[in-house]
Amino acid sequence: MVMKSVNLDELNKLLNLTLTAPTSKLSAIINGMKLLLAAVFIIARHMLIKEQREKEAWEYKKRQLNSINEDLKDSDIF
Amino acid sequence: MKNFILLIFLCVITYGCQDLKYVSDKFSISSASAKSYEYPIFINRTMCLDLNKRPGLCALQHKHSTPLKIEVDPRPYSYLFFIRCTKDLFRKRFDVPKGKRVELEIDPDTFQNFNGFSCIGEVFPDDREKVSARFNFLVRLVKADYIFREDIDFYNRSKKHLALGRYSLYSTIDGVTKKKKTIIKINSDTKVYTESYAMRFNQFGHEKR
Repeated sequence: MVMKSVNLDELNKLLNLTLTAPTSKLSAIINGMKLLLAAVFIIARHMLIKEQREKEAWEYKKRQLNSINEDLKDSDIF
Repeated sequence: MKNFILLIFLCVITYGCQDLKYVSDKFSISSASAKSYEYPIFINRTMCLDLNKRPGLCALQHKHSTPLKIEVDPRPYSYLFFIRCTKDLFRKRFDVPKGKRVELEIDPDTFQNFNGFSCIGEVFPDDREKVSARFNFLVRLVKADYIFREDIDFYNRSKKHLALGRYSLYSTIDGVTKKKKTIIKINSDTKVYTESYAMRFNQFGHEKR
C-alpha cells in the first residue's frame, strides 16, 4: 500500500508547521501546501494505525478460535 | 412542609445512588484470555450458571427427542459470534448486529446417536479491541420417554411446610436421613433432598447461597 511507504519520521521533520506570514502569493501557496501535506500526513497516520489495529484484532480472533478447538478436544468426554 | 422534606430526602437518595461510578477494567486481562467462561447465554430459556452462580459455564440433562435452544440477549454493540460443539455436530460463526437477539436451535436429529456433547462459544465485541468472552455447556442426553421428577413444592401454599412427594422413600433434611417423610415443617434455611425407590432424586434449598 502507498500509505505504508510514507516514512512518518521524515514527514514529521519535513512538516515544520510554523506558517510564514503570507507576504507574497508564493508564501501563501507554500502555506497552503504545508497545510495540505499536514492533512495528508494525519489521514495517512490514522489509516496506518487503523490498519494495524484491525490486523491485531484479526490475529487475536484467529488465535482465540484456534484455542477453542483445543479446549473442545479437552472437553470431549463422551 | 413534611412533603417538601420527603422530596428533599428522595432527591438526596437519588443523587447518592447516581454517584456509584463504573470502574473500568480496561487494562486487566479479559475473561477469555484468562481461560474463564463467563459469557451469559440461555439454554432452554434458563441462564447457564456454574455452581457458584457465575454465568457462562453449565451442565444439563436434556431429552434425546427435544431440540436444544440457545439464546443470547440483545447487546448494545455488534459482535462476532462463534460456537462449536464436540463431534462437530453443531458449528456456527456469524456477525450479530447491535440490539439483535441470537436464537439458535440444535435439532434432535443431530445428536440422536450420542450420549452427550459439549459446546464452546466465544463473543468478540466490535466496540472493543482484543477483548472477548466465552461460554461452555455440557449436555447429557437422557432417554426421550424418561419423566424427570416434579419440583418439591410448598404444602398448601403456606411456605412453612414442604410437600416432599408421595414417592419419597427417604428424605434427607439438613443432613439427617429419615424414612417416608411426605410433609415436613421448614425454616428459611432448610435444605432437603429426597430419594425414591427407583433412585430418582429431588432437592429443595440447596440452590440458595
